[in-house]
Amino acid sequence: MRSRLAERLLSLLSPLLLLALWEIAARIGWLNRQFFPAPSSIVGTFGILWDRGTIGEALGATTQRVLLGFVWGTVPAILLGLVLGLSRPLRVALLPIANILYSLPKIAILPLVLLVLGIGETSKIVVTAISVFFLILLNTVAGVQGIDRLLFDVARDFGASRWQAYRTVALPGALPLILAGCKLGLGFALIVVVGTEFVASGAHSGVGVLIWESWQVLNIEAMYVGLILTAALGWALNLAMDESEVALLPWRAERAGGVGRVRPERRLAGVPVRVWWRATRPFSFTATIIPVTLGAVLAPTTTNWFARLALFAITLVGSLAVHAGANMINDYYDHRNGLDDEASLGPSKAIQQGLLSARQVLFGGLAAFALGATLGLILVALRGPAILVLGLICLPLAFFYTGWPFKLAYHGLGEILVAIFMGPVMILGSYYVQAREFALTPALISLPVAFLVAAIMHANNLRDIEPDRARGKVTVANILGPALAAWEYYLLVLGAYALVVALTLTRIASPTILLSILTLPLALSLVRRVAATREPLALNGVLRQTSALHLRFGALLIVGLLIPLLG
Amino acid sequence: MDASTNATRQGPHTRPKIAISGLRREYRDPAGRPIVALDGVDLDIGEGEFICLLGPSGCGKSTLLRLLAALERPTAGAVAIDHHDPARPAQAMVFQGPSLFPWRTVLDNVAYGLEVGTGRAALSRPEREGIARQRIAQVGLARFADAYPHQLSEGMRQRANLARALAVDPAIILMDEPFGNLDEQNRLLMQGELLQIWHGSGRPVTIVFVTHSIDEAIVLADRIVIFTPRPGRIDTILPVPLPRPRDAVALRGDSTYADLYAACWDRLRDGVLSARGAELAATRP
Repeated sequence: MRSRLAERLLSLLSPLLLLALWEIAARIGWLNRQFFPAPSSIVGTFGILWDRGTIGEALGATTQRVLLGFVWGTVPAILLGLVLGLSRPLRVALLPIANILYSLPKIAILPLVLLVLGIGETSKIVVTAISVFFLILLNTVAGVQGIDRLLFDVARDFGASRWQAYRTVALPGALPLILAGCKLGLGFALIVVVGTEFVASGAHSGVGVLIWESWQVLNIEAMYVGLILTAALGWALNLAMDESEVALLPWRAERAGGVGRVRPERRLAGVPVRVWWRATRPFSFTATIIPVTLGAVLAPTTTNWFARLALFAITLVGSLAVHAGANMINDYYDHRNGLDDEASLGPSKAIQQGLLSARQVLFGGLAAFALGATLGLILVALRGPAILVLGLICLPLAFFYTGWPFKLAYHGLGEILVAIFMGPVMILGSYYVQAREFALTPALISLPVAFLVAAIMHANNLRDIEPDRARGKVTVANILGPALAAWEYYLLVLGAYALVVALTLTRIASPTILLSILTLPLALSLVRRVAATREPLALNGVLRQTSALHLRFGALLIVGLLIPLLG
Repeated sequence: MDASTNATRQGPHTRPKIAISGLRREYRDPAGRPIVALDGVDLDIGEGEFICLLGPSGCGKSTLLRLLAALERPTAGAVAIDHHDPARPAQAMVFQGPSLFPWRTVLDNVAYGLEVGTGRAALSRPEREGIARQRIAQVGLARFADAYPHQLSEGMRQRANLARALAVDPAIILMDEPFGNLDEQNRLLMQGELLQIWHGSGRPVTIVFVTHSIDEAIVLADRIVIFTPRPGRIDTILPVPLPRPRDAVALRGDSTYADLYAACWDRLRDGVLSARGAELAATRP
């Protein structure tokens, strides 16, 4: 254990030491600062360029080119590769050509492509796509040919059509090699994009442009910033590929340690990450994802999509952390108060099944809050103190929602709090992060979402009317009684649709948000089910379907708001 | 030894489930010369019958199975399968060797036959998984439904393989040396389990089982079809008049068993020796 820690420290400290030596050497003049400026001055330049927006734009532009070129190269390569892998005549005819073209350095065809397509975005993406295409094509063909013929016989014996054989045998069987190709290909793509940015300076931004232009004006610090950004981008792309490899090849990942050795599960504080994930109740996250996305979509558009995306990601992860924290705190207090017996169908049951101790759940919840608070502080630094005010209101509420001593949800405040905070507050917060101002329109558009999220909470309480009453938990549902509570459910669900119609009629939102009305059949069937039954098990289905309704309705609302932006 | 003891199963009165006539299959060697793998095979198999194809390696038993599964076309002759139930596939094969998809869990492997093909009405995913889980439990793998093939022992893999064929509820199960790679203990266990499943299924299931083990053929079969080595021809058909249910170990004390074993060996030895003689003659200058 100790030696592992020492190794980690060493691997962490050695680059820092190198940087420190560099700094000293540059300062006392051992290094020519013209070529090797001190790290501190590079950091200073980084700050200036960040404030100017240069960095966000450069990263955004280069990432966009890399990904577009990668996708345009990869998708046709995989499709053609599968066909070639399974057809001997086509392979004999086409593979030699592919092999010859593969060995040609792709950057060498840039002049030709520039000739045909001109200097611009398209030519950069086309060259990148070509450079990725042959690599992935050859890997896919090799992957398909490496599959045991027996497996194709199995598919045929069970009556698989040609297309089904592609989907169920050729593609998954070739996937390890395809992904290996993708990993190399993404590296290729970055090299080629930066190369095209050097040469074809029609580009307005990009990390290659930053490096090249800084060199031309001998702004060496800025050049180093460009180099660092390129390295960071390459590292991030590689990491993303590694992660997707683990996710797409679970049967391989476990074998990574060698034959027969099962890869140890990823753990956090001694508990498998999978268990923590379950304890956060991830199925409930759509209640956060929808409003945060909605808020970001409503904010006025800017050209710097990278910064926009980064801000959105921080907001979303931060909000999800708080949501997860609230869920775990809820599990902890329900367990302590003996409210989590067999009758309760909702919670993650991580404690009851002995996967986590009550203390672990409590600390997990607090850790999630800490993560949320940290991300919140980053947003405060980037976007101003209004976020701090929001955080100071939301965090305690998330805790006291079911936490001691207030247990707000057990005093009939569940629906209203959820409606306010997972409706207008989240949407306006996410909007503010993007736009740096509050506005009336997003607040109004948040209302239907608020109604539906309250409906989820209410469906939960409707189901638990009897047990909640027995435990002394006060909810709107058991105050009203089953008959009136059902009416509250109708009001919340159907109210959302009325609001959408009202928003369009008053021209607050574009008529495209009427798209969300496509979910009306589901809503009506839910209303009928609530009218028909008081069975807890049936109502459990209603709860799940209400959550699905919220998700679909919200997603269509978002699409409806995006459509006018496309025009 | 009289075939009439199995009359209820063989049923010469009804139409055969599988009618094989004049079957011949040739391959080409790399030089383009024809190699006859199977020749002049005539065989009728009744519904619900358990047939073992017995013979030395390379005698065309597996080729016959592949022809029955329509994975290959005969050079001459024909296979007619009497099957008219659209709700049930005519056959499913338990392949020899690593035929589970390494990228699918046991559950997804077993559900595979329900997922592809157009013969069966489209089932929803939970329905498919329900059927698959039932079959997985039947072969004793319930605890390993979520495991990948490489995490299982060879015996467990062969069980999953069997469950995959059972899941589609076929009228005929074709089994190509399914227990060939198992140790003796597992082999005995699985023979017993296979017989149980075959007896226990509500509808008649016809099984064509390829093996090179005389023991195995006697324990399992209603009739043993003995093949000569290349070119594969039917040498003898021996009915197995042992009562069912059979116990693989208790059978060995039975005198009928000893006679059958001797008869099988007699035919096989002749075949192997004559083939070897022919080979020697061919290599002599």
